[in-house]
Amino acid sequence: MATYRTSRSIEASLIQYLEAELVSGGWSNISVEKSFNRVYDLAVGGASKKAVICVRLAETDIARGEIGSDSMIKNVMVLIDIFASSDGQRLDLKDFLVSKLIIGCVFYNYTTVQSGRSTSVNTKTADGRLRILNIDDTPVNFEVGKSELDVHDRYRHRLNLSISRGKLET
Amino acid sequence: MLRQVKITPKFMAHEVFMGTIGYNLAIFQNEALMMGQGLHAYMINYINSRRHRRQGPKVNSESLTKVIKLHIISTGPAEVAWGIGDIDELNKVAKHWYVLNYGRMVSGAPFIPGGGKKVSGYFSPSGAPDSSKAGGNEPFIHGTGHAMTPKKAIRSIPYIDATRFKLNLEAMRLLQKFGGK
Repeated sequence: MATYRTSRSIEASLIQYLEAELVSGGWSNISVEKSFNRVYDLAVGGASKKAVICVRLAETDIARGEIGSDSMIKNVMVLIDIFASSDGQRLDLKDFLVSKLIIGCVFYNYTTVQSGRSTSVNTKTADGRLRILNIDDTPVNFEVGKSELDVHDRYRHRLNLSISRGKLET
Repeated sequence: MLRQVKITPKFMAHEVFMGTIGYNLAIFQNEALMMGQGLHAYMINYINSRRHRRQGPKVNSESLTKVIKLHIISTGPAEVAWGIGDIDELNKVAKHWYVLNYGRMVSGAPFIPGGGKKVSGYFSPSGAPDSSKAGGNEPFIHGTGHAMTPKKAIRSIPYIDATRFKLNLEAMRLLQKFGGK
């Protein structure tokens, strides 16, 4: 049995939170991924208006919490890339995500179990909340005709989140 | 019975200024300028440390890390202003600045700096195309060689977002240093 460290747990907590909120918010055919390259293997658009959201933890800013102690204050940057099927869906989806993310979410510690070659999550334990300090909201526009772009890149949007657990970490 | 209460916060800009930066303006300006230099170095280092392939000679564009400069706009008696990277200049000589930050699929679509669908050249020093060099870190040399079609997604190196994230934190720390909240 192994455990996820903080960064991985933040990513996993956010992905699970968004998946649950998308379902309860009535969204369908929206998948949440953690790998940028994998997004391009998934279908976007089509009759069912599929979209993909990619959640990646990018940077961590670490500062000492106090003199004489090794405890840390961490601020984390998380990138959320939206690959939508239309411009309307892009705007609706990003507004929906911002409205859900701004209130923060529960942070979970995960333990995994290995069976054969595969590893899966065994348990998750709530351990405080993730607080969203700031959200930068940017449309991605490649300034090329939409028809010339790959279907994934036609209606993209990026949210850049600053996240804190609001506690000292060791 | 409910009554509407209107609260309008009132403050004097002069008092706020004197309570924080005050007569330490020169020190503040210097710190803010140093913050710009630090962030510029951070951005360059961010790109270099995440570079997938080693740099080869440039043909259609200039190296992004050379074009992104710290532009000091003003350090007059009551202000300090700087910027990192000039978009007009980047659009002229390093058009890939945008694609690198956001990432993109390359197959079939015009792609900067390769210019489009097929690019001619080879990987140095192996002289590939060689499937074992795909995804490797050898620099690509434009010119005579083999016609190749890029097919994979360009993974984003979010250097703009990362620097903006750092800027928010550094600006907060700088203001706290001078008694800001």
